[in-house]
Amino acid sequence: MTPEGPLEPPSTVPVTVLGGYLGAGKTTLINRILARASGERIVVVVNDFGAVNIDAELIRSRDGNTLELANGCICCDLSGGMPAVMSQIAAMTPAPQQVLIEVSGVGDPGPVAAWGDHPGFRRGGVLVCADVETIQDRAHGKWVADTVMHQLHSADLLLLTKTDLVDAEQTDAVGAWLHTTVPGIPVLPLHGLDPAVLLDIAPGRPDTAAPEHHQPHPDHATALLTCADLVDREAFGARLDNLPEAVVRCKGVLRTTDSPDRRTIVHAVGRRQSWEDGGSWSSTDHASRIVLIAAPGSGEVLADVVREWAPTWSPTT
Amino acid sequence: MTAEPTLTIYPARLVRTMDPARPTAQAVAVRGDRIRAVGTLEELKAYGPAHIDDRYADAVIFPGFVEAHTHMGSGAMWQWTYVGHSERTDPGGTRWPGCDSIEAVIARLKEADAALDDPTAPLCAWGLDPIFFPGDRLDRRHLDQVSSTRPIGITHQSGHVMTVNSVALKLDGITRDTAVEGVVKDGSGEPTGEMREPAAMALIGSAPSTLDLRAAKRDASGIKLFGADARNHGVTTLVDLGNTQLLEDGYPQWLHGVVDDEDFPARISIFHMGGGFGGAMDVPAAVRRLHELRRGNSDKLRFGNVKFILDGSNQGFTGRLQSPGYLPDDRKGIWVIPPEQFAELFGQYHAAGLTVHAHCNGDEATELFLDTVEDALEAHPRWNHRHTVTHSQLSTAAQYRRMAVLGMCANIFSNHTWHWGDQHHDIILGPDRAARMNAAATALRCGVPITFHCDTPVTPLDALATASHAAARLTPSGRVLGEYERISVPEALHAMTIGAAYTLKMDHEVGSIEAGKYADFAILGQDPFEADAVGLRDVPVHGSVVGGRHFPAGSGD
Repeated sequence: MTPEGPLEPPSTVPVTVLGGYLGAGKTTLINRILARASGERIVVVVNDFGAVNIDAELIRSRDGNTLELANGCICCDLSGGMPAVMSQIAAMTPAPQQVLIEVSGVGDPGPVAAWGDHPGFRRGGVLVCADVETIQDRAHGKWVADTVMHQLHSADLLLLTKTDLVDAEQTDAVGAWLHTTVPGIPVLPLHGLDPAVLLDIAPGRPDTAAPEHHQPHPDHATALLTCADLVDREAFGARLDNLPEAVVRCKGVLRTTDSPDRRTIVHAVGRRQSWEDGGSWSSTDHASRIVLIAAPGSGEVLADVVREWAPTWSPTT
Repeated sequence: MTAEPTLTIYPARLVRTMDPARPTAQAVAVRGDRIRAVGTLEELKAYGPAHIDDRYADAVIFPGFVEAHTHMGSGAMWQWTYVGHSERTDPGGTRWPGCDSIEAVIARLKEADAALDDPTAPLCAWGLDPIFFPGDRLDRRHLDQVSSTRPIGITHQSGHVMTVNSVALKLDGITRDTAVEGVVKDGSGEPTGEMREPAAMALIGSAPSTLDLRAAKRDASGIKLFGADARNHGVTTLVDLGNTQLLEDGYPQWLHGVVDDEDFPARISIFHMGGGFGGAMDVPAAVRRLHELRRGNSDKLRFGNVKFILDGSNQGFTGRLQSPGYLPDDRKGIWVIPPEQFAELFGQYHAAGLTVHAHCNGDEATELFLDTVEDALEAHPRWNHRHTVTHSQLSTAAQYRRMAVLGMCANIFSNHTWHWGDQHHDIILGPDRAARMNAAATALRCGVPITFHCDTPVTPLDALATASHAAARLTPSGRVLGEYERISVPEALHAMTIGAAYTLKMDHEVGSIEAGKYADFAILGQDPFEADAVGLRDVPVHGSVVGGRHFPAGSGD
């Protein structure tokens, strides 16, 4: 048989890695993601189910190392090791939309991110939680100073947690300290962020070619931009690198100078960019378009970006 | 007509009891699975009619050795080809000389290749340690000399790296375009065959890693090989340190079926993995399970103790060190469990009355364990807990003094002085700390009860060799690594018998030849007390006796 029409590459599943020292808020974030989900197929890999403390009413079934939740999410524990879990996930039909791997409290999330290189997956970024109450003490403490520093260095995006337990000055001071200690890594308070912004769990099919389907929480300012010219991959990558850290997420479909006949999909979370081929263009649709999503309260920052990127990139409605 | 006597007397050239109150004897009398009495033939007449069994008349009867840190899955390793640097003997008694060059590794693989009928069957090998081949790196080109038809995969000793041949790369679809981190590429962008860390190693399905000890612990034939290995070295009590599967339905019962079989030649104490590299965090459930399993303990299979892993390995530069760090760059290694989490989990096992052996390779890991035990004892005083620092490779004199005060034991990894001693000296730690590694003499001076171990499959299961390495501290290059940490041959043998039994709370049952204890013996060709520290490793072992049953070395595999 001969396939008719353009052969579409299968969409890859983002593998997002969640790190941070014991007590930094990883589990709280996972629970928020699981509680928020409604129909998205998110696979969460955790060390131990006990720590996640999933509401028993939410559990549809349990089989060995796997919990299936009523909202479509799946939890796997690591009792059989990462290789076994990853091949289990790769065999799931339908494929999940998103994989989220929680790293142990002393683990370095950097090497774990490499699982996103496996066929069928892509790297979704390394999120590292930093507890504003304790992170500085830990980074200078007796046992785990170097461990904590490794974790911070591995991050694509640092999430400040437990900011509700301290005053704003303390949060700002920790943010400033992180900027000096691990320069170049964006830092954002987790409070108020819609976890969907960090992951790839827009409702419906995760159609990466349709960034406008990305509908985060209304607190997040978003900008939909389009570009009629061919996009230079390197120059666009540099644009993303230079975004203010309050612009937490970018996803888009590009018509690039090096591959104008094919769609190029780009994702960025924090400083992590991933690029992949998105198949052929449809007959009616050739223009590059992206969505930029800002952290809550950062609408002005985003508006500045839009002004700066004009006229190459112009807002759409 | 008189009934057949139930007492059997075994005269020997010498019975060496390891009981200081009665150190030697002419013979031992056994009834059922227990020792009835030890003494002269004349004295043993006092115990009634007996059958005299002369089979050990020319041998030395020694207490069966006790190995308190091994891995039950190690027996299954012998289904693969061994290409490690040190000589080993497999459970069938075949000697595998060490592969001391890359050429020797290739030659070994060619032999294994020739022995396989199916030209496409995978060839899996284990034990390669590139630290012994500085400046020379084995890659797919070497392995391609072995076969162009079958996939070949070598799992390195560290467990963190594999090297595969071109057939394996092809079958698993690994090319210059494979963008997985850890797939090593050469200058022209082609994969070299080296796969680093699990994400890359997991791509190899055609000749997979030999590391799945979890599956090996459910493989009865592998466990029997593990028992045969013990038998060949006169080891009669083993420890599986530790096991992540004890909470699974049916598994412990299945193990009883394997180990309680009268033909299985050893006792095994199986430790529950409490944390670090797997292990359930629900301590109350684990404690209930362990108490329940304990009630089902048999003569030969024991449950109820707990293992933790705190850090990595020193030769992998991941053991957790106090300052100063490793020789090359002052790195300090890694934790495998957060210190606070260890304290919390340990505290619960401690309060539940269980004994914990914690893997501490580096001295900062030891320090954490000691701090944790001290805090737990303050919160929940306990006597006779026998919490044990296992590996204890870099524990300092100050730490041994604390262990003594806290009532702790040390299970020291002295085999390292032989297997990696030169590398510790030259590459990993430097002469100073390498000389004070595995400080057995310091431990004894401080009054800490000690034993030694092999951690098979990390180093070979061979109790006499382990005792010999602790006493001699000789490296393969001929160096004595830390002459003041050497101990005497009797001290080393004490550690491998009653000393190990003490750390398992089994010293009232095994570890010496005394009336009432299990009739567990190592049958030796000469008195090990007469051997010097180096010669001790060459004392012939004829086999073992476990609960009065005879298991000649090399028999019935």
